[in-house]
Amino acid sequence: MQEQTRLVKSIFVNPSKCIGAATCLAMAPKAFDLNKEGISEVLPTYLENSDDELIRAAKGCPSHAIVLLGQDNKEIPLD
Amino acid sequence: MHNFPRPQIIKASVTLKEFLNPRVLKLNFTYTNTDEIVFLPGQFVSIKVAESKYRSYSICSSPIDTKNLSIVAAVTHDGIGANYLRSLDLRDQVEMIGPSGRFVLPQQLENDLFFVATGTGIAPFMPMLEQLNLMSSNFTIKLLFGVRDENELFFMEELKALATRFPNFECFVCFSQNIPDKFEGNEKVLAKKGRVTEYIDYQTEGSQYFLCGNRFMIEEVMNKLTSNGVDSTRVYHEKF
Repeated sequence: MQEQTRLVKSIFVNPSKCIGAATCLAMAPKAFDLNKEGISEVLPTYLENSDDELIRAAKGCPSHAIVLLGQDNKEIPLD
Repeated sequence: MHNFPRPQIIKASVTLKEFLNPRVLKLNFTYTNTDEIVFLPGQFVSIKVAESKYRSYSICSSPIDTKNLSIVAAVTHDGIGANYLRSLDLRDQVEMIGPSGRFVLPQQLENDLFFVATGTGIAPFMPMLEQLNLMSSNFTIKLLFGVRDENELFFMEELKALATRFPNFECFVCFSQNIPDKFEGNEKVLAKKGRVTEYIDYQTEGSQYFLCGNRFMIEEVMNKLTSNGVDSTRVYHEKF
């Protein structure tokens, strides 16, 4: 029930854009971690962070590597 | 495998703000929420420049100093990061996340190293060179530092001092537009007329190349290296 009210349905990190800044880990620690190459990856627990936290993490990414998809599978505009 | 420190939220205050030339600002920060931060030479921090906005800057200070860090940035353009850094005053509090990144030296030096930088792209190489000096190897370390003219120079005293105490290190400062009539270098920090791409040694046997700066320079150097037989796995570049 709770998931239907969520704005964010899924998250993608573009590994070719990610610079491993880790700003997303700080803003949404249940959603992101760094893999062994130092690139951010999405954790299965990402919905434990709020929509607001996920949006701030995506907006805060200095290399714009994070894409959020809404319940309609369309990209959520960040600006 | 390097033991990369986990990036953390760092709060720090500005302890120095100094223009190194008309474009490049140097800022020093002292940590206020932690006693020390350990970083690997070449790593960077991402500074919070507005609400939910971060910009990444390579650390240019010595890894031996665990209480402070320094960055340099070109700040004359109208950008969210440049505007924020210009607005900072001494003792202002900043928030950053780091240390981050995998653009670091190999753990064991097994061959010559070539560093190619334009402008503030030299920043990550300064702590790398400090570390290499401490490693006391016999391999040649060459830095190509590209600028347009003498107004864009900075870190010259640091490079000359490094060259004096670091026997295997040499630096070519490449002036793409105007080479100065009088260049204040020394016997190992030399001025060259032209772009960095004109002075690259193509060594196909094991040497490693580190590139940082203008993305067009990085693309051009990477293409030149690989087309001259250098394996792309031996070419590293910073991604921002």
